[in-house]
Amino acid sequence: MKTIQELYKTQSICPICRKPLPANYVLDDGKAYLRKTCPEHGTFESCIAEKADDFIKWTDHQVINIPPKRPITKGEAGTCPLNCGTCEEHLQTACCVLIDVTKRCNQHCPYCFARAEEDVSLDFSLAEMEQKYDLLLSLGEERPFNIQLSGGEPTVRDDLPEIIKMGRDKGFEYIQINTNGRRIATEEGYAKKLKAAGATVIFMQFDGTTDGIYHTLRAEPLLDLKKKAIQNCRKAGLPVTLVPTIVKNVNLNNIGAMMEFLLDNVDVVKGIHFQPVSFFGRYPDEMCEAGGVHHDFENRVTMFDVMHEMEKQTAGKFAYDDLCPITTGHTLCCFYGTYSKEADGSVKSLISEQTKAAGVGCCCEADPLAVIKKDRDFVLNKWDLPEQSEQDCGCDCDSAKSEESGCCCDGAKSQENDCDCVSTEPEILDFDQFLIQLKRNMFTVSAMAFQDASNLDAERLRRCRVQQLTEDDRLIPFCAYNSIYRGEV
Amino acid sequence: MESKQTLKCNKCDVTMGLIEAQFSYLDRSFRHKVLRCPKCGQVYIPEDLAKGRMSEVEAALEEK
Repeated sequence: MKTIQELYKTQSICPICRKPLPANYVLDDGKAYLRKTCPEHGTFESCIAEKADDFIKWTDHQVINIPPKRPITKGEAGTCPLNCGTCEEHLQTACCVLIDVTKRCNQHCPYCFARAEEDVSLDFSLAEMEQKYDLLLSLGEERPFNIQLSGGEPTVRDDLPEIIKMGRDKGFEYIQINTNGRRIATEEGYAKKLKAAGATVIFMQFDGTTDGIYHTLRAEPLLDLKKKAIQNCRKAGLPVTLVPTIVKNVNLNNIGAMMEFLLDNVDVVKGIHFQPVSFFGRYPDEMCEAGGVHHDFENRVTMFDVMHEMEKQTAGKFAYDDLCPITTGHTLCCFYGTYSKEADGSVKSLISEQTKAAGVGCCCEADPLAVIKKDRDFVLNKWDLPEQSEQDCGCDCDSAKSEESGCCCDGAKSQENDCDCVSTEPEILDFDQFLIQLKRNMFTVSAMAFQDASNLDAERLRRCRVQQLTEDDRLIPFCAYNSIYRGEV
Repeated sequence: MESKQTLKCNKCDVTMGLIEAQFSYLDRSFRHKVLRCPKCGQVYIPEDLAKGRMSEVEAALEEK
């Protein structure tokens, strides 16, 4: 006989009428689900973890939340997330704030959370952008928010370098560009312009290593274009983080190949940030209904699926046990790991047992500002390349000095430059050399499990640290924005 | 004229000399020049090294 165990209650919304509803996390047949019933539209369920143990272990981790400096909107009991702004009920100040600098896009992807089009709508002006930056400086703490410039496709704006430079001049230390990479690939010198303007990282759509995947998710073959964009970033000294959208029957089975691609390009690719598909914006999938229950989307992928598949497809090289939650936020929203590629081609996890147990970001700092700084400096330090002056590692390979390839020794050997100077004998370095080499060969593996109307949990939203700055100058948790507010605020 | 500072080993009372020492931590090895007592082999780690580069390496290797 089937046993259903109720774990805990939260609040969600009806995916059809968007009204707030009570919801329950339950264990059913060894899996963890979020379930809710709308009096008008029926029962909805979404799988959160295929293995109950994963859910229980993960949600048992410690969480540290530091609330926003000041609320923008007024919350009301029982109505979350209908008053987002952030309201005074919100528990976590933003780590990264997203600004959509345009709604336009130069692709028309079947899967697009922003439902972006190649339209002619007006972008806001540089003067308006300046007001937005100033607002964020007043809302943020002493260490300003990290910024993601997004859209639409931000590179369709010719003044994107000016927008980046304005932000850096105002004191924002980290500005990441969320892009499909098309303009970086096709316009010679564009990556250098972004770098010169002060872009910190290219957060690049990269869904896998076959054109079939791109055909399904992006309606065109894009693999060569992605490789070209990465090569141009390499030439510009601009770090890249790969951002795959993972759809179960499309590219969940390509994770191992993506990890190999990262390792081949670790000299410039400093991270891979998986985004299990979220069903908001534009997508071709439908929920299936049976017996009065709306079951989950067939293509749903949980972050636990990603972790287990990664371990399986890399023969244990990237183990589930090496990954842990980020403690400023909600433990069901992210996983994280740091690695270095070793001289013999193997990888080494840099997460200590202590950190694994406590979760990344859980520091001994008693001062909230110190926690905020550590949180916001995290990607700044991780998704970074050694300075050009530090690139020469002393090997005899001429390509190490070439602008085309960057340095290629010690595991940083790339597909693009087949230098044979990789030594399998670890050389004993001094501390400075070691830190440079580590930065060159270090990379992160992470994911963000976005919520859509099916699996939205108000408690997770209240702890959200990735917030969207809206046209009407509110800060809205990213998942609430895309599930409810996009196009309306 | 500026005099060069020397350190003596507290235990052996002999002048310490600069050598390149090898450090090991979490299966990694590093080298750095430090003062060492030629008699007992004890090395002196100055505060700026302990709180500087050594601390950076420790933090990087342990995700601190």
